[in-house]
Amino acid sequence: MIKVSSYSLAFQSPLFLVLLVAIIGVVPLGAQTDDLVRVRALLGEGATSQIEAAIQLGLADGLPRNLLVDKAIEGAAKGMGSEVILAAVYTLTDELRQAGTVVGLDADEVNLEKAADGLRSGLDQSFLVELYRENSEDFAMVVVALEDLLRTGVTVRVAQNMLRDASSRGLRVNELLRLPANVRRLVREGRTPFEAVRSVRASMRSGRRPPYPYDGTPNFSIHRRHQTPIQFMWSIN
Amino acid sequence: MNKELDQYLDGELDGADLQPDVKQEAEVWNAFLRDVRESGAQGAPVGLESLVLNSIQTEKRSQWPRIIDWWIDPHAIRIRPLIGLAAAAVLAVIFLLPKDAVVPVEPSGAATTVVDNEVVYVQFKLEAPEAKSVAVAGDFNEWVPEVMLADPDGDGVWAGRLKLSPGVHRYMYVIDGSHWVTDPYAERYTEDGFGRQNAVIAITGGAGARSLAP
Repeated sequence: MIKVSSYSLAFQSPLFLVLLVAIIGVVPLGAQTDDLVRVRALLGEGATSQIEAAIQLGLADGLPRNLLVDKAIEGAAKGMGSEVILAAVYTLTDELRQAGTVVGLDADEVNLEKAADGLRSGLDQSFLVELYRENSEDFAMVVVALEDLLRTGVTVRVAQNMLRDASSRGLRVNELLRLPANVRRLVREGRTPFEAVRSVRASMRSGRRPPYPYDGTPNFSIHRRHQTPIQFMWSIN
Repeated sequence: MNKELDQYLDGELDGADLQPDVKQEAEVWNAFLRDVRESGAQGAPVGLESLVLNSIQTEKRSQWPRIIDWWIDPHAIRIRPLIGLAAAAVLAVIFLLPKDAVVPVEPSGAATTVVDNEVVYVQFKLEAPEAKSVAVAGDFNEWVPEVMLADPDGDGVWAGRLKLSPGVHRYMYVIDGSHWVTDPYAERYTEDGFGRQNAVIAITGGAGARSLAP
């Protein structure tokens, strides 16, 4: 049997300890409050003040601070000049304002951001409003899939119709995210984007689930052999 | 009581050393003590005990000064070293363990992602034979290029796993600490607002199995 002794530990008054803990806790909290500290360190006080002013304009319109600050931090981290960052923050402010008409300014930041992305990529505002009303939980993922689809070269109308088709057939979110890769594969094989979408939609109508374009394991040898982009994220569910 | 007198009565000072006024008072005390000794009293007079206790009770302090004193006075706690070490270890784990620690890539590279509840381990890879270091930075780590990828076998393929939560994440690779590059093998991209493209990862987690609303 191990005998464990106790030792007395003298410490200062409880008041002193409480103050000490408060100071230890408040110092990092204070650092967090200054969320532009990295921007300030990289760009200096003057430039940061201008960026802060731009952010304040967005806040006055009810936009979430986090998204605007994140853009400024991203720009500073990437070594952009203050003018470029300022322009990016103003642009994002405008985009988020418009996105607010789709999902409301009180929506989750991720939904607000994806609504802005969707509008920027050319999706109809009314379509996005309807999409958010019906799929508010998966809105961001659906917009990601639509953006991805548009990047394959299909038109906005075709992409939106394909989503309606997928929804009516009860496709899961993961399956929807796989659709653009299937379209892209067919395009690489020589079909036009329109033909590729038609083929994938026909496959959906026949009840087949969108397959993984590859077997799911990222492999540089596969990439080198086919010279095609590979997806690292297939096995996420 | 006068300090000098106090010391005298305690035997710490000689009577000759006292000031005249103190000496006078000391003599009164001496007389009193002599009387007490000569009276041969064996115990306290009847009623003295209750008189003293009543006196103490009347001097009992109210609650607030005692509470204030408790907060101001030093205290001592007793602690078992083993429990102290265990508590220190728990605190160290909570505060010192990096949240975005990169998990080493398994040599087989069989799985790119491992889902653990709603946390997903994402494997990042970049082929950069000339690089001396490769980091990944994104909105998940406030664009700080501190998550370093590794190239243990020196073949120029840098890789590492990162714990991410479900959602849509944007990222770029940072070569040699300053050269930002877009992942050439990403499935999705988005404009970064600075004339370049961020790679995009969409992690659905458990929600991915949900059907879309018709």
